Amino acid sequence: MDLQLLWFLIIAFFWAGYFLLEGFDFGVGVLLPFLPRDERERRVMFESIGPVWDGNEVWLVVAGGATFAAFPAWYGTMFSGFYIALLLVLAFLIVRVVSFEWREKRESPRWRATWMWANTIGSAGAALVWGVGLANLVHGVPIDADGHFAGDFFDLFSPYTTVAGVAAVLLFAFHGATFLALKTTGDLLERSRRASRQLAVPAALVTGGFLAWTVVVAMDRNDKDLFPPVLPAAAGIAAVALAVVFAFAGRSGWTFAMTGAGTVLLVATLFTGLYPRVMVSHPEFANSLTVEGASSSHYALAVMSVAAAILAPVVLLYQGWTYYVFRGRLRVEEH
Amino acid sequence: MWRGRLERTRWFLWLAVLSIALPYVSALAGWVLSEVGRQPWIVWGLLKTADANSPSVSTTTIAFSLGVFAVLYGLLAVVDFVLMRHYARLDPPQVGGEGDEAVPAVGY
Repeated sequence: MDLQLLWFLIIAFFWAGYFLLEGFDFGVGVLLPFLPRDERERRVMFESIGPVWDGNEVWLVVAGGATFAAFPAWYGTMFSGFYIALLLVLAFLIVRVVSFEWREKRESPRWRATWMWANTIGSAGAALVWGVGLANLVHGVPIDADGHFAGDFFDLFSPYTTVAGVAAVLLFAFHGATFLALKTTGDLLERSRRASRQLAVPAALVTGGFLAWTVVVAMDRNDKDLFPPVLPAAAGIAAVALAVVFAFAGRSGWTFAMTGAGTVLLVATLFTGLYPRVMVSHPEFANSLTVEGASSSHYALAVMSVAAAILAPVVLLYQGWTYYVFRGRLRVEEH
Repeated sequence: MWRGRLERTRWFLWLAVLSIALPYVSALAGWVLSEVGRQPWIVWGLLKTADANSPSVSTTTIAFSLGVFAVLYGLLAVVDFVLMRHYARLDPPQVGGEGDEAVPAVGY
């Protein structure tokens, strides 16, 4: 396998990991105003993701960093073209990050409510923009003959990309509610299960619809055949459908496995629909950026491959260890 | 001369408080030095700063994003200052007293 394809797959892997992991902590954030009955339960919700959310966010940093190093032309066009969108994401993530640190620092209900909403709005907002942003890679944005983005912020919003954003928010909320059903006890556990059931059908419908639409968009805008994008899309639709079944059967572990598979397959469908391009140009399809045209030199990719082969397992091991250490359920009575 | 009472001498304590700013000043100065020092290059000998900017991001957009960051971080700095002042005014916890058992430092 050539190194360009390898790095395209590595970047897809990082995005999939980001959606899988940050997906549930965004979901918990979205549910903060609705699920808990009192301050103690809200604190349990914060603590359920407390030890892991920042590690989850690292997957985004590596996805961006790997794009910069492996595909500088892609990075340049995407980060310049999505400038305002990424500024929005940063604002959402910054207020969300401080909400974790500051919420507990004062007792007043107004202070706590402020930072709870900062977390909720940050989570939902970032999820929405990521959905819209990644969908735009396949849907196509105006790119000129020099490979520069030639549109504006509002070009990023179309019915398809908006559905992508909504699908991300709903799927993450479903994923997060199911995560809480695995991490809590008692009354909060019951309400997490109920939220998981309530979110299951809308999340599965919008996500399933988005996956099918992505196959159509990839064929229409990116000159793809039905195969292979239909494979991850069909698997993703099956995963979210099974997630609904398991949610109603009360099997939280299996539901979580399926919502997780859904987030990973959503990213897989987008990147399968994207290859061999990294950014589709529309209406001038010929100006699309390709894996081959946007990549770094072979030497740079080889050096990065060696570094990644040594360091990535270490990072994965200690992140896995974090999850192992904090594997238990949280009890409201202890808070 | 100030043996045994330097830590209670007024001018020394003021000096200590004022020197809180020094590490920040030196970190920022080092950053400015390296940024200014390599001009007109953004990557020394390879890429000029003038050739490295994004043609599709306008000056207005950059000014806007800079404004957003300035306002956002300005607000965060104010909140941070208020929090630090609040905690600085509390009585120090008693060593060995109640509430001194081992607890994780970060609470959410």
